[in-house]
Amino acid sequence: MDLVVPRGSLHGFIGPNGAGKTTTIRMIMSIIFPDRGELSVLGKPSAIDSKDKIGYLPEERGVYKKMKVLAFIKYIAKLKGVSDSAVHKRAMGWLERVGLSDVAQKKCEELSKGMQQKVQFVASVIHEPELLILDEPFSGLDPVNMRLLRDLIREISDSGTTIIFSTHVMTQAEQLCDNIVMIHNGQKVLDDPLDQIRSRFDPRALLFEPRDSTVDAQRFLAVQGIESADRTDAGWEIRLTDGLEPSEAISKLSSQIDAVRVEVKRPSLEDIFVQIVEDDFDAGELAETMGAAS
Amino acid sequence: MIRMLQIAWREFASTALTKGFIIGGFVVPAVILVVMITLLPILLKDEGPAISGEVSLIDKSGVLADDITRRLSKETLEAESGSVAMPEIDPENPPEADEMAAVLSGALPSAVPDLTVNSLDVETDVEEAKKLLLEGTADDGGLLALAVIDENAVSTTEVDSNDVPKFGAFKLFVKPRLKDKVHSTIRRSISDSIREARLEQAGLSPDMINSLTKVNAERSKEVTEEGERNAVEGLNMLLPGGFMILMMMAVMIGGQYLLTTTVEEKSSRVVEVLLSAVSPMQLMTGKILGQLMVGLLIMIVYGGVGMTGLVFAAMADLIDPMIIIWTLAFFFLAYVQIASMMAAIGSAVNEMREAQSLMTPVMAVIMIPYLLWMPVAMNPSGTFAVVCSFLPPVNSFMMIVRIASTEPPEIWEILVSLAISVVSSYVILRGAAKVFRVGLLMYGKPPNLKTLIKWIRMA
Repeated sequence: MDLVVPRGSLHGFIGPNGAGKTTTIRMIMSIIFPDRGELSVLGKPSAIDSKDKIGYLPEERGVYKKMKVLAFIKYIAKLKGVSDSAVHKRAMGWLERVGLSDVAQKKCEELSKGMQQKVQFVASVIHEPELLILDEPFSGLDPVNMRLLRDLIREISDSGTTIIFSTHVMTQAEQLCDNIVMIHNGQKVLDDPLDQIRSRFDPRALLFEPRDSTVDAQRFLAVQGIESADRTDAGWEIRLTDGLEPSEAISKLSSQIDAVRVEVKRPSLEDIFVQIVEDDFDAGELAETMGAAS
Repeated sequence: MIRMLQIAWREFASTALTKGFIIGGFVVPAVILVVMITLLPILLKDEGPAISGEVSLIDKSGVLADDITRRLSKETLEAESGSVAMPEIDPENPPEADEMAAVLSGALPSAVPDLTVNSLDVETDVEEAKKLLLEGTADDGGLLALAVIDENAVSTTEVDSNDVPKFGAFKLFVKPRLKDKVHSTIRRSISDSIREARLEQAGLSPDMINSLTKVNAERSKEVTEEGERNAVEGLNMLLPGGFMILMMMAVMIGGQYLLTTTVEEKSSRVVEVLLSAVSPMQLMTGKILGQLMVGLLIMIVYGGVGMTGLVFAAMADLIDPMIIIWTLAFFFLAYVQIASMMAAIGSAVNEMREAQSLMTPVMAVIMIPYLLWMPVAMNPSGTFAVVCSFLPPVNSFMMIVRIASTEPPEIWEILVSLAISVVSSYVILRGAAKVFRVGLLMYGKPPNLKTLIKWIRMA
């Protein structure tokens, strides 16, 4: 696997369960060591030399149950090299930002799982890292807190911090990341900006919902350049041949069939993900496909 | 280094600065001690209400009834119990420990039973007389005991082959659940009475016999530069044992806490957060240091109490300051060994329950000195003791027993044993660090000893 994450970018790290996301992250963090190969973190050969500049929210995360929230955050902050004089103010500031300032003196075990999650997030960013690695940061959060966390991650990213964030929930990656790295069976199968991936995996299809629900496939296939028409829950999925541009197809179709809704089908990351995993073709073959595409 | 100390401090604070530790470790033992010293003697003194009742006597010898009646009378018994109870007190040096011993052996003045002796006719049917014992219980009074003394109990014409007279005996029937003390008083009084009657019969004076057979020995005194003091037998053996047990206690408590906190960090998944800030080695060293302070605290408090006790008993000179220094040195090394094993085990398992099977080797290291300290303390220069004090991983404990004994080893022996401890600590620490590093992030099936050894080889 060969991966470069440029400074300041927001990289999404996706892949099915067991693909090797956490293992890769742990190697980046120098928690485990690769059997072979080399890596460089913030210009140094190992993260050990720059642990203070890295924030890490592991997938397997927890808090000291008996410790008070503020004490826990201060403890981790100090381990991360935050000075004694700054630590209290920073900890309180962050607790306020995530809406936990009123539980600062409570024991961690008294907090709900979602609240603990936010405490852990604060602990991973309190030392203002240059590189922030978030492993499944949203698991277990409700939609409100998910949005809060998303906004915070964007804010941190805007301030110039490099962020790598792993997930197996594609929509989260889609909403947040500029770049997507996908790994499958320990191999990198995708590594591109999100819009490039979208165009590469463009299904060349339209979603067409006719006003008259009795319309049959023949009506669509009668139009030139339509490869296939399949009925879906809400209408029809129309595949186009290579010669036909989507805009042209829309005007052609809507002139012949009265439509309620017509749109270009956008490939979701999930579709791409499922396609790659299900096809299960090996990385070499994929690389060829990708080479041909770009 | 600073991070290691931060981890150590958190480890110490989260263990020792908790209510549970302070109450369980210090308050409760202190309360128990105070109760033992103040309340127990008072409680033991009060034996409950005195028993009163009758003793029937069928004296076939015909000469003992009056004497036995006198011996079992309240006045005689009171006089006796008073004389037994007053321990000799050395005005110079009030022996607290002796008082305690006297209290515990129950030799304090106590209520004597109020017994009436009923002399029955020699022709009385014993079986009939016994039936009275079936009535009521021992607490109700009434007939408590029936004594039947043989006709030839005091004077006899029978002799055995060596021409030694063969005397008769006495039988005692008592009510069930008669208080042991009352029972033995009756038994002893009858025996004494028969014995004295026999002596008189033979023309010997019982007082004479008594003074001829009783040897009064004053308590042994230890002569020290500060003056003389009562020798306490067994102390020479208990002292080494005390040092070892103190050391073992501190090692064990620190080690146990280390195991618990490691398992907790792992099972609460906080460990990977920590590993993003420090290396596994820093984490382990910090934790070991933190619990070392816990162990030291325990040693200082408990050892301090022990020392204070010795100072009050004017025996502080029994402890050479060097012993304390050696104890601290060997404690440190023994602790590092046990603690690293505990840390390795804690890192390898997912919860406390799974730690049990892996604890066997650690428990062996703990149990062996426990079993061996007596023979070593009894014969501190014997081959067995010498071998034990060089055999890792128990050598630290056994060497302390030898050092604190009456025959301290040569300085080179201590240094060799110390060197052995240093080497074995290093080896164990290295192995443990490898297991720790691999184990911390391994979840799932708990490893067995074989897997642990594989981890040590692999890392």
